Amino acid sequence: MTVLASRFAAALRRRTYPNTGVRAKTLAHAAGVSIDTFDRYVAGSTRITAEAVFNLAAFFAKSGDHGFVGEVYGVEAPGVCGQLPAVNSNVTQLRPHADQIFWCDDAGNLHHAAHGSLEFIRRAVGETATERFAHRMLGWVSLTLRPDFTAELRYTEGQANQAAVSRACAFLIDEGRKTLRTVRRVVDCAGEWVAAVPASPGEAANALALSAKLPTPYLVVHQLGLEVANNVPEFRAILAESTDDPGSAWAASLRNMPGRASYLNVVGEDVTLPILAGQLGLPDDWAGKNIMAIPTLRFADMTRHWMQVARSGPVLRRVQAPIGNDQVDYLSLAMPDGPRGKNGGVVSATKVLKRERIAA
Amino acid sequence: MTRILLAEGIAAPLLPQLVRIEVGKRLIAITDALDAAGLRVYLAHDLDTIARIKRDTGQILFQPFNPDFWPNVGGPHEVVVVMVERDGKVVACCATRRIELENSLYDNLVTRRLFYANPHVAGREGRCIVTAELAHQIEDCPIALSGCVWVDASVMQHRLVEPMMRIAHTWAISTWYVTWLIGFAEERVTRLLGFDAYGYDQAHRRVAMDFPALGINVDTFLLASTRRKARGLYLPSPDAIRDPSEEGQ
Repeated sequence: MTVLASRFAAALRRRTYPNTGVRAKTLAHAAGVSIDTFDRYVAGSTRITAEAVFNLAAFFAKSGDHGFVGEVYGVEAPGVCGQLPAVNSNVTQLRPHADQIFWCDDAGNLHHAAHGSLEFIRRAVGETATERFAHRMLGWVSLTLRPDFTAELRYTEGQANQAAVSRACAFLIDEGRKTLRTVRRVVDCAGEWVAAVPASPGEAANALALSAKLPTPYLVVHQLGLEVANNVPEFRAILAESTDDPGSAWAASLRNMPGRASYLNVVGEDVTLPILAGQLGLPDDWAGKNIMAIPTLRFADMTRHWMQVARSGPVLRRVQAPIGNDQVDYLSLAMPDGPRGKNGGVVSATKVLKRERIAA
Repeated sequence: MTRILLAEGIAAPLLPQLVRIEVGKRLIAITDALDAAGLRVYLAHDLDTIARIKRDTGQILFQPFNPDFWPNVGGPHEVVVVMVERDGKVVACCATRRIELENSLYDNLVTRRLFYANPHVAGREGRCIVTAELAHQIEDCPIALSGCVWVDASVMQHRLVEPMMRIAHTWAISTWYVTWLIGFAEERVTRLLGFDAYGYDQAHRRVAMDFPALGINVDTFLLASTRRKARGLYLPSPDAIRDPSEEGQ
């Protein structure tokens, strides 16, 4: 019998009649296995599936027993973080009506702190460790999922571990696809906790990734050759109509892509947005404002750069970015309206290729 | 007295990520071992704390750590005091100060500027005789000066000097840009503790301090360690730490 099997068997025996009032048949049903398989679990004579462990953990957790997984994986020994069970996000279903705390460690594992954050840290790191220590020195990232489908994300600016950040981003994106609505980042900046404005899971994941100098999981930009624009009939028509008369770019885009073109005005470092296309789902109140007023700074900075580039000639790029609650994959054709030069208008026509819900 | 638990107070912003994680685990191992013996490690960042401990235990306070002489010194960017408490009572302590040296250490010692922010005040007379050659070489750089090491007789068996100095020096090199770590100790202490417990790698004879008004008349060694040597002693080598993300490559 392996160590894991013997621990599993012992943990089950402790929780089964006559040690408790729970019958084997009940637990077999909870584990999703036959009674024969369950008997072999108790005897330690068969392979254990992770699904059975988590099903049983969920079953025991409903009655307030959160120690099952810990017993199976033998995490009682202090300071053995490597032996702690990494969990999948299905554990979020364990206690849907209470705050659930998760920690992403420097090995890239996600842990469910079922008994509270400090208890977990003490068990994982050491008796004298604290949450702030785990954030600062170990670079771990913590997430608290609230019953109202919001989350709080905590980490230390510039010191978050990349493996932990990657795992946290994946978790945020995964939860965002399911139920998570907004995420509030609370960041340890030089010893002070600073709370950011709640954002969508995608934006929070982007900000977290940036702080750890990782590629943002959602914002991807590729510049494409203009010949690709010929494959899109609308773009081809706009380019054809505006080639002879540079001042007709806006009119051409209105004719060929009504409601799908924005007009931007470039004056030095300032890029304002007088007319905003509704198709992308950008907030209406951005119209008329400087582009840098967009809360997602990197998106704004990138857009400003491209608009400045577009003053020199047409530019085609493919952008995958989180906009609102969606991940939008779109083509953007930007071209100068009027004569080329540093300052002036830019027409940006967009064609959405794919839109995927990333937040509930 | 504002004191914080070591785990709450340390951040080590100067260390690379993997080194910081390893250092964090080492520090927690130290505090866990002390915790098992009923001892808790705290940090403070003001000179008043060390002055109070020294006053309560009837010891003479080394001038660079005396808040009367350095009224404007304090904060995590200048001072770290490591205290060990048992049942709420301080049983051991040491302190480290970051000092920006103008001119050489020799010059600062003989002019008493290392001891007093303003050495030309009545009652601060005294002299310092320096024959340690190293004092001429340490010049125009930030240094970490450690001192005020004290352990109560009741906890002598726990050998607290080494873990305290390890914590203080780890703090210094992981938080401050200091070039040298220095200290002063009498010959007997130097022989007993200067290398293994205090963690210095050089001891130079001698720095004689004579301050009649304070009752200080000691013949000390100048203990020193370069940042590079201290890093080698207290921090794991980045090369020795395997990045988990590189495994299998």
